[in-house]
Amino acid sequence: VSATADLDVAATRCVFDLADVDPDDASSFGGKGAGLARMLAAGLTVPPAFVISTNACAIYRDNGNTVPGWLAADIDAAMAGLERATGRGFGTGEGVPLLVSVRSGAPVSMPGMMDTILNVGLDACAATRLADATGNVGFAIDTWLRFWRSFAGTVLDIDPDAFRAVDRLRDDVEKRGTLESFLALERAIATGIEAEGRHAPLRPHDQLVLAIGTVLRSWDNSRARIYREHHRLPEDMGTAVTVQVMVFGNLDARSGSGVAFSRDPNTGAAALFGEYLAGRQGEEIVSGISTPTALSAPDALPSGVHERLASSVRRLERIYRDAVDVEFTVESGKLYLLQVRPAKRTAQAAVRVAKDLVDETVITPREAVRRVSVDQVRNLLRPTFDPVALARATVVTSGIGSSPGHASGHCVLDADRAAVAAHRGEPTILMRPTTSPQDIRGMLAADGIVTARGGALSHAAVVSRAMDKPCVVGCEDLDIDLDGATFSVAGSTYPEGTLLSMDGGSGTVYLGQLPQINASRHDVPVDAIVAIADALSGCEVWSSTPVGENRSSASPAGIGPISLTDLLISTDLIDELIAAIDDLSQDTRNPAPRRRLSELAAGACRSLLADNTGCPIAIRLPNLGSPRAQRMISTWVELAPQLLLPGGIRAFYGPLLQGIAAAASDVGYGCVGVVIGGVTDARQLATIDASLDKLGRVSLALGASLHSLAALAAGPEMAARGFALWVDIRELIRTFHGFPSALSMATDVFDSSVDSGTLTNNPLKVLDTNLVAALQQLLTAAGRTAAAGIGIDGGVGMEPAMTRQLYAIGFRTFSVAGNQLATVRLLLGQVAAETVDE
Amino acid sequence: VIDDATFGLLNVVYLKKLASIEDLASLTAAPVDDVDDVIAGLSERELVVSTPSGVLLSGTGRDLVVDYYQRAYEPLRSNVGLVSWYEQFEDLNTRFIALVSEWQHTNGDARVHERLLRVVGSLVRELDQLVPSIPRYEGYANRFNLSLARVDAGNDEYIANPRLDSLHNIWFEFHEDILSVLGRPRDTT
Repeated sequence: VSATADLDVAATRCVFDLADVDPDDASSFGGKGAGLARMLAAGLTVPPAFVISTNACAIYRDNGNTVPGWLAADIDAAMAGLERATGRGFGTGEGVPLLVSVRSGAPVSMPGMMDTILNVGLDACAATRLADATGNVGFAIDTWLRFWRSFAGTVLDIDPDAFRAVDRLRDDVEKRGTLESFLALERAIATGIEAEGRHAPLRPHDQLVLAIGTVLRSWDNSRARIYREHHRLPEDMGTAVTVQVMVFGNLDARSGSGVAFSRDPNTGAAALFGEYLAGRQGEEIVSGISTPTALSAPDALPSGVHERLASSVRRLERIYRDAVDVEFTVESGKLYLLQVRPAKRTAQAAVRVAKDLVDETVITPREAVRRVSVDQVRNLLRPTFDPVALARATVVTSGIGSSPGHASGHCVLDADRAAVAAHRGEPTILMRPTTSPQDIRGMLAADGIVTARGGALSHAAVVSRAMDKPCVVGCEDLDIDLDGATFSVAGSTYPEGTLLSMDGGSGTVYLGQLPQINASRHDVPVDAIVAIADALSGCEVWSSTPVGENRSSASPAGIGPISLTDLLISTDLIDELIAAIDDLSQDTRNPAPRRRLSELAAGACRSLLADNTGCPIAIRLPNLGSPRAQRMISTWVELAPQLLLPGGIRAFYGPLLQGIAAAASDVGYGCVGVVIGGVTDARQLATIDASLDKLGRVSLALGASLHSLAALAAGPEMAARGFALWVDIRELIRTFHGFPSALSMATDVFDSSVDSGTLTNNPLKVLDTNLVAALQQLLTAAGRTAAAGIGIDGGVGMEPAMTRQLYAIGFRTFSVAGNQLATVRLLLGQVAAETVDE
Repeated sequence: VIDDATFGLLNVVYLKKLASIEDLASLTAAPVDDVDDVIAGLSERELVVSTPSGVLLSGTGRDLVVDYYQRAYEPLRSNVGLVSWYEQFEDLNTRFIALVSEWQHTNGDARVHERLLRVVGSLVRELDQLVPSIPRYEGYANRFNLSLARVDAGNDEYIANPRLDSLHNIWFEFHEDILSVLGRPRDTT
């Protein structure tokens, strides 16, 4: 390299003191460097550091993967700056040696890149000085060996096992603690590395340059390149390198290290939470060697540090716009923040923190709904065993709860048999000595998994967590006899098929089927988050199942459309309904079945209305032309054909409407909605509506459930005549695609067709573009005012992708099963928040 | 007695317990129609049972797979290199399993994520050593690489989802495979 060329590139500045780093320029200084600069700018104390900017990456590569002389000189100057700031020497001098960490920092974190090398700056002399200064020879050795292990693994690409021989010397060095013994250790390290065919650089300065070079080179590793290609990230972006002083928590009595959370990570309560180890380094907290003190304990921290820590995390929350956790070290009474990141938290804490941060105006409602995941809310509201039944239940066995959730079912001891039973629709608990990939089919199908052996890391635990399925492992007193198809616990033997209940959280297995109830979480402000989501989405969400008491701010906008058939099934009167329909079909003038129909409808609705006073309710009349009716009524083929058309025989809907009206009047309900399924012409509704006049009571408002493209086409006219409209989305999808009703719930069948490439999309998850157009047309033709009232009846489930599509089309009224109310409303709020962003 | 190609196919079913024709085709790098024909033949010989959800091994089929492992790999079982390779794998295995669990518990913590993928990368490199004696192990390396690329592309489902050719699935199948090669029972943890 000629002298002139060297001068040219020297004009490029790559090395920046932290104070000169622009916190908003992550593309030059990486996420880590910019983050540290932001903390410094906010007045927080971080250990002194400098950053090598991302443009050094290309310079390093163009210079044949070596650090050019001028850049090495700049790095040396920056190191001298760190020496001045700390009063410590790097590889030279007296007293506590200067140690640094070397970290990568790409603007976007990328796979396969070198992460961190700690404790750079030790040779035998420096390690001896460290031992003297801290009065802890063991610490000096461990610090040094930790450096060598990570340096060998990442920089030299040597198996860390090369140090097994060195480990044997450790105790001897600790006993002596002399420079000679440290030198012997250094020789052993060098020998171990040379045995692997590599050269061991012993001077801290050389180690630093190599570590920096490794970070810069790791930008070009193959995984990172593939990642950039895939995400269309520019190749010349490069990674920054942050070199930062390491501080010591074990220097004296006023030193120590800890972790702090700005809020309780378990409950989300707004109070400083965490642990502190006096006189120790941070790694010792993680390793669990010593017992730390809770930050909440009085005088846990040296004087003044608690206040400083508390105000630091408050400031960090404003910067990060989130609850944070920090790693910190106190060195001779001075607080240093080492690492800050958005805090890990439980679902409960996530909800509480999101709500509180909105209240404290740290974040906007739009941010808040995205801080809580739909899965977290689902898990929080997961049904639990009825405490009354639980108190009386017999515990069969217990183990390690390795995947939370509750399940009941017949125990099956073989994965294949479990799969068969579960596919027959039987609730099934797979109980195995242990599980292997060969049991996967049974594990996928079963409602819960129990194993006798294995720990929280076992195959069963990992797989069940991935499937979000309750699992208990390591029930050590459980003895399974596969040949005899029995299992025994403490002398009692049970046959396969025994009904069991299990709690995958507590790890307990009970005898019999324990009833489950919806969890009411008074300790978590789920309702508040749902209310925020509602305000964002502007949606009204109804419950398609009765809700009863426990009404709160998160209660549904209405109840329905709820099917009269389901109400009669739940009170065991379905056979009477079918018998009355049969009789009516024989002779439509016979008053007896008509009277019976009216009584049945009145009875079923009376309790529903009484339980839900004051809430809009929509009741769906039986549709005898539906596939469901065809399955339920054994004499279906013999029914009078007119009965199969909605309103085809007045003698059928007339008495039902009469019964519902009577119930409404008894309970004193102002207005009850009645929804008719299967209509395709506004005249059908008009005719039924006219018959209401004859009842002399106008407490019923008629509406339609739309099942087909024909119904969608007729929708605008129905809406214009004032009828309420619900789109039965599942049935609409079925008739649109023309698949049989047996596939209406078979999401997995469609999924496997998508996997094998025979279908582009799962029709139950993603609406076809033609269907989207038809729904769009419905809203457009109905006009702005009417469109607001047209609801989507989601039935048992609403897939997230489809919910997004429906929201984008413009639907703002939805109906879902009661146990999905909170999750769907949160999802709608999240979709709305995204939409606003775009 | 079965030939190598038949073993290759039956072994997939043996390790997966239930394998779709598509699984078999992609894992043996053969056209779907060919695999379909071969499976029809094996079905006739009553070595496999075809069900709508996939192919299962019959008792005879299972015996033949176990017998093949025994015959083909008996000489390797006393091979010092392979045995010590396996012992090192056990260390790697312990780390992998712990990392998958930690990854799940921390909802995919970035550091754990990275360490997890590095461990998989190490196994892929180590597999090279076995390929000369067990050529079909190259298939595991290819599967790992494909799924690693998918994870790096942002599809985290390819880490532990049991329904996909996830790293965890491939790892466990490989573990079962090498245990069968060595003729050892599976550890229960």
